[in-house]
Amino acid sequence: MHPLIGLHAVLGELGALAFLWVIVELLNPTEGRVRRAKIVALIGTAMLVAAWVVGGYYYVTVYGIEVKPLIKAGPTPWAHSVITETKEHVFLFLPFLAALAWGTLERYRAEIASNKNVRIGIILVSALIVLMAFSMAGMGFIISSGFRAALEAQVL
Amino acid sequence: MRWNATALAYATIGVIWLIVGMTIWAEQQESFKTLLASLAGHHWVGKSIIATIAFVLLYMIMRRKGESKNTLTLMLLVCASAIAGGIVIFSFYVGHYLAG
Repeated sequence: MHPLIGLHAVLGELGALAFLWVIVELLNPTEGRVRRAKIVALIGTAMLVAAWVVGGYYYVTVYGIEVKPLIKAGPTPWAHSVITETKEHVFLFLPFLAALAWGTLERYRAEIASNKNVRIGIILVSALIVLMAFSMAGMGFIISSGFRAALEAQVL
Repeated sequence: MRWNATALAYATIGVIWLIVGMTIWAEQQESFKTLLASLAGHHWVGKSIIATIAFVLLYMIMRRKGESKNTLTLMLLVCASAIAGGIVIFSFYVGHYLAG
């Protein structure tokens, strides 16, 4: 396992947990909870951007050269052709969704407690970020399994 | 700085569909994939850079308009775009794989 994969996964999951935290703060908002939600959303956005950079660096410098050819030649080539291809592109939605959630929180910080529509909107986008980020982890597991299956097929 | 949430939402929707379009187009047209790769050495990095620039430009253009009062509808549109965009990309790669 390459250390950059671990760092990419940790950053992505911390980003997901940050937006889960935002949801909890907004369920019953007070001034203090909205202030915390804003800070946590900014941290979550930064985590997802960092996961993008780290994952992208690994993808371009290691995965494409060392991992992709093995998976494609192994028993589960779809792990790259379908799952990696989907993951690398759908992941790109996440930093923008996070920026939207954080920016909307900033914009409506004084009204969130009284404006139910805005609050529900931010909760929905945050929930989507959490679900998408965890689905990225699931896809990462499938890709790693595809790589392991390819290595096992070479050894056995 | 005070963000314009409506412009952010429209920029996000625009970027999601731009990523979907670039993803499919790059698989269909090798010349487009090469062009993306020529921007930064790899087609995925090229898509990332274009998506970031497009997000900023779309936000700058859309922020001239005022804030929509219907933030919830906009957020629902963003969520629907992200889900539909993800399904389109996944379905495309399933079809691409099955077609060999």
